[in-house]
Amino acid sequence: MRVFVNLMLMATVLVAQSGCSTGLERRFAEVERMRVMAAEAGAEWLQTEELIKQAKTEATRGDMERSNSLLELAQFQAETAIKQAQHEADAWSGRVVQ
Amino acid sequence: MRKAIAAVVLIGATLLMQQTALAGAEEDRLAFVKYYKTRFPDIPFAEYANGIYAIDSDARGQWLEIEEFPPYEFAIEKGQERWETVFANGKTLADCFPQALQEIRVSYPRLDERLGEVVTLEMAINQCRAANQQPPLTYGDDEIIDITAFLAFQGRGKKLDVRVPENDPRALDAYESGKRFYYTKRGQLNLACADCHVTSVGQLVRADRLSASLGHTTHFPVYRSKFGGMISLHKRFAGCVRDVRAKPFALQSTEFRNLEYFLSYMGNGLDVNGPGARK
Repeated sequence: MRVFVNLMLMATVLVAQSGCSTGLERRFAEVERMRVMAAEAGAEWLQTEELIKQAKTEATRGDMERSNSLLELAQFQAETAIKQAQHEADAWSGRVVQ
Repeated sequence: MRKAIAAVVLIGATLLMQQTALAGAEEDRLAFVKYYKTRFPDIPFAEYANGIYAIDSDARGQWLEIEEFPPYEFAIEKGQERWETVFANGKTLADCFPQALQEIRVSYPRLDERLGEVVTLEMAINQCRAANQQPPLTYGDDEIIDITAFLAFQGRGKKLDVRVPENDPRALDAYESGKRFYYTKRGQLNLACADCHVTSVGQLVRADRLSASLGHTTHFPVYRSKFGGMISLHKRFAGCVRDVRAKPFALQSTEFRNLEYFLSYMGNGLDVNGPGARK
C-alpha cells in the first residue's frame, strides 16, 4: 500500500513539474512575442531582450523568484513599448515644426 | 468616356498629392530654418554647418584649437589610399562614381531609382565593391569611414542639395518616414530626436549642450575625442537612440537612411565641411 502511495505521489510531482515547465515556457514565449511586436513597431526598448535572456538563465539555475521578477520587468517594458508605439502613430505629427 | 474621365481625375489627384507632399518637404525645411533663426537670432544660417559649435561659444574655442591639428587627418590619408586601391579587375572605386571628386559627397543621400530606396554614400561604396566582386566593408568600421572622410574632405565647401524627386512617390515615402522617425518618441526615456534638438536645443545635458538639428549631417564622419576614433553619422544616430534607452537600428538600416535623408534635406543650402572633430 505504501509503495502504491509513494508511486502516486511521485507521479503527481512529475505531472506538476511538467505542467510548471510548460507554463513557464508559455510565459517566456508570450513575453518574447510582445518584445518582437514592439521591435516590429520600431519601438523596442534597450534592455528588454537582455532581461528575457537573464530571466532564462535564472530559471535554468533554479532561482524562480529572480527569474519571475526579471520576466515581469521584461513584460512591462514590452507592453509599454507597444503602447508607446500605438500612441506615437498619431502623436508624432503634432510635434512637427510649423 | 466615363473611364477616361475617371483616369484623368485619378492622375490629377495623384499628381496633386505628390505636389502637396513635395511642397510639404520644402515647407518643413523653411519652418525648420525659421525656428532656429527665431531661437538664435544672432547666429547666421551658414554657422549651423559647425554643429554644436555654432551655439556653444565656450566649447567653440577648444574646437578651433583642435582644428589647428585635426585629429581626422590620418583618416583622410588612409581614405585616399583606399579610394585609389586597384581591385583585381583593374578598376577602383572612382570608376563607379561619374561625378567630379568634389561632387561625390553632396550627391548623397539620394533616392536610387532602380532600388526605390535611399542610398547613402556608405551604401554606394559597398554597391561599387559588389559590382567589382569585392566583399562589402562593414558599416561602422574604420575602412569605410576613412573613405567617407576622404570624400567629405574633397567635398568641403559644396552645399547640401538633397532632392526629393517629385515624380517618385517612393522618395516622398522615404522623406516622410525619416520625418516621422525624427518626431517619434521612443525608448524608456520617451524622447524624440526633436525633443532634444528642437525643443531643448542649447540646453545642458550634464556638461554638454544639445545641438541644433539644422546642419546635423554636414560634418560627418567625425573624430570623437570621447572614443579616440572616427564615427559615422549612423553610429551617432545609434548612440542617440541608445541614450533614450531604445534598441538602436542597424547602421545603414532603412530607418537610419530615411532619417539621414530627412535631416540632410533640412540642411539644404549649408556647406558640407566634414570630416569634423567633436568631444
